[in-house]
Amino acid sequence: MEKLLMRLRQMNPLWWQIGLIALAILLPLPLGNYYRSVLWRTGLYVMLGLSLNIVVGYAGLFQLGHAAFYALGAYTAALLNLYLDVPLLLTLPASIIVAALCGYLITRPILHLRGDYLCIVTIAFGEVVRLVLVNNLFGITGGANGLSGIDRPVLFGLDWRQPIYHYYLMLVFLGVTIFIVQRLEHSRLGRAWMYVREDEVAAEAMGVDTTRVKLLAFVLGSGWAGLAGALYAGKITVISPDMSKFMESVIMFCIVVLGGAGSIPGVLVGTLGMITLPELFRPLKDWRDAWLGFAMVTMMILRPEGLWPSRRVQLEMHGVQEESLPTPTKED
Amino acid sequence: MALLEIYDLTKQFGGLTAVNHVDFAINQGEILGLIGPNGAGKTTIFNMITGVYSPTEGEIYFRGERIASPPLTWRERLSTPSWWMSWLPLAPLREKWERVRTLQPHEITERGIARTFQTIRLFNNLTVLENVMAGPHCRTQAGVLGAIFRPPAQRAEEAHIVDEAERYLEFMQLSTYRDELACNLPYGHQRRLEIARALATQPSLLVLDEPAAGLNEQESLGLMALIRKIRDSGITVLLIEHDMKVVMGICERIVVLDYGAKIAAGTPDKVQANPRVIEAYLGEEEEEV
Repeated sequence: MEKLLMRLRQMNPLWWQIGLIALAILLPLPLGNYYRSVLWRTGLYVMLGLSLNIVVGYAGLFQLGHAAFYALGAYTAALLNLYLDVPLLLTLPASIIVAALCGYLITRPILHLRGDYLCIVTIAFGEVVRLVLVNNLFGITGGANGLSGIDRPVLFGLDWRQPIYHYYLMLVFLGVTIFIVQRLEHSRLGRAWMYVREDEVAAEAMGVDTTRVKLLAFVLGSGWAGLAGALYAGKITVISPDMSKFMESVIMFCIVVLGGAGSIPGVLVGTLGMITLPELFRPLKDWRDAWLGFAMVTMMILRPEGLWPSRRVQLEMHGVQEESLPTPTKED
Repeated sequence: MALLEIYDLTKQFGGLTAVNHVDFAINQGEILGLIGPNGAGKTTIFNMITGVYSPTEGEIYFRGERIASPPLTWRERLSTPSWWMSWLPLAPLREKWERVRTLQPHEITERGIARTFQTIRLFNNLTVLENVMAGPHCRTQAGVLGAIFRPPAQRAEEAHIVDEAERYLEFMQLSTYRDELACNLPYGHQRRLEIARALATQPSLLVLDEPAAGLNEQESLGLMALIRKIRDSGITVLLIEHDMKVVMGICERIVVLDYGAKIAAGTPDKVQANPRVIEAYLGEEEEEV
């Protein structure tokens, strides 16, 4: 057994990646529509988790209002589609831009806040967005009932009522997301986020424009959540202000923290725990909040760095010596 | 013209005057020591030079450009037309505003002043190389698109950052620890790493805040040699230090502070003979030296 594990670790990570992609493509084929939808939902939350991971994991900023940007993206897509008849796939850039712009406007004045203070303001922002939508902004957001009758995407003349096409569409966007996020992580900007997370004062003194760098994290994260929101609107076709509920933000936050902040596979593991498991065991769904609380408490005690942490976050949490790390791979 | 000129600098924290009408200047290519008993206001001056605090009164000029002055009050800001229009992409208006606004610490680093910290502030969980790679950050510019698409310019820039970082590690004799985590280095090496990181921002003025604190005799000697080497490579050094041996050994000029005010300035010999300095140090440090 030990030997097998060793062999697995020494394997080229490329094989892992190819295997995972093949699995993601083939997995829905033998499944029924319900499970295909579950897979789609998993993909959606992985994407949301990855977008929040930029803010929470890389830049180390607490953001508990992320669902607001998800909702803003969905509403942008829906409004453009319903009132101006823009095909759904063409609304995606607009969703990204609106969510990113809101991210900019909201976080610009609060960036100097630290830790818990920032966290409180982001919670408040999430609630503000929800209440604005409930109160039927400009009479076009449909109040508490939300908007319905949104067109599904139109592409290749496929029957887009089938969840499987949505799943593959999600998979394409997920691939793009992972590619982008990974490249961001290993770049000058990604390093700047790391410096800010490690020691903001020292980063500023070394010439890193901390305000700009943190702002970029928020803008990119928010914009990407907006994209996820638009994809959601395209499949479910009904959206409501509940998308911006506090609980949604908490789930996204849990996905990042439970999986391991700053780690891409961590987000995947976190989503499996937070979204897929409760969805598969439907009878237990009433217990989901309890499960969430239980998982959080247990994790914070036993493994505060998350299930699949990035090497660095693990160090920050434990201060372990490099030699004693469980994963010898150089990549996070 | 001196490299850094400080005029009439005052800083008050509430009712406490930490720095009281201090002026001095640093000439290109010298090692200037700033000394004084605990609480004399050395670190406060330091923080005003590096933009962490803004002065209550007075100004600091670096290469003839004003880098610190009392911040504008809201009333002053509201009555400054260039503040109202500073967000517009109009170069002349922005320049006008640039001349009156306070600079952020990173902007001062960009202009060529690098610092170290009194209590070491490395990025502990990053490798030694990554720590030093923070230095070239303000001299490079790849952004989001560069990161995603990795055009040749961005790749070249990344390679350049690594080269630069390695060069400064070599300079500070830390090359062997390239891939160690910063927190695993011995204390003396951490001090050197902090200086390497500051040098990697390519400063023309290096400000060291008690670099010899906590070092043993031998490490102090090594440090003195390194500081001289830095000066010989064309970088001016401002040294804030408690260790009299280090200060008297390498500084060409010394400025002495006591209770926030400048009480003496000159060559080490002159300063040591100055009765006010002896009084400020109660004669103790004098005997040691």
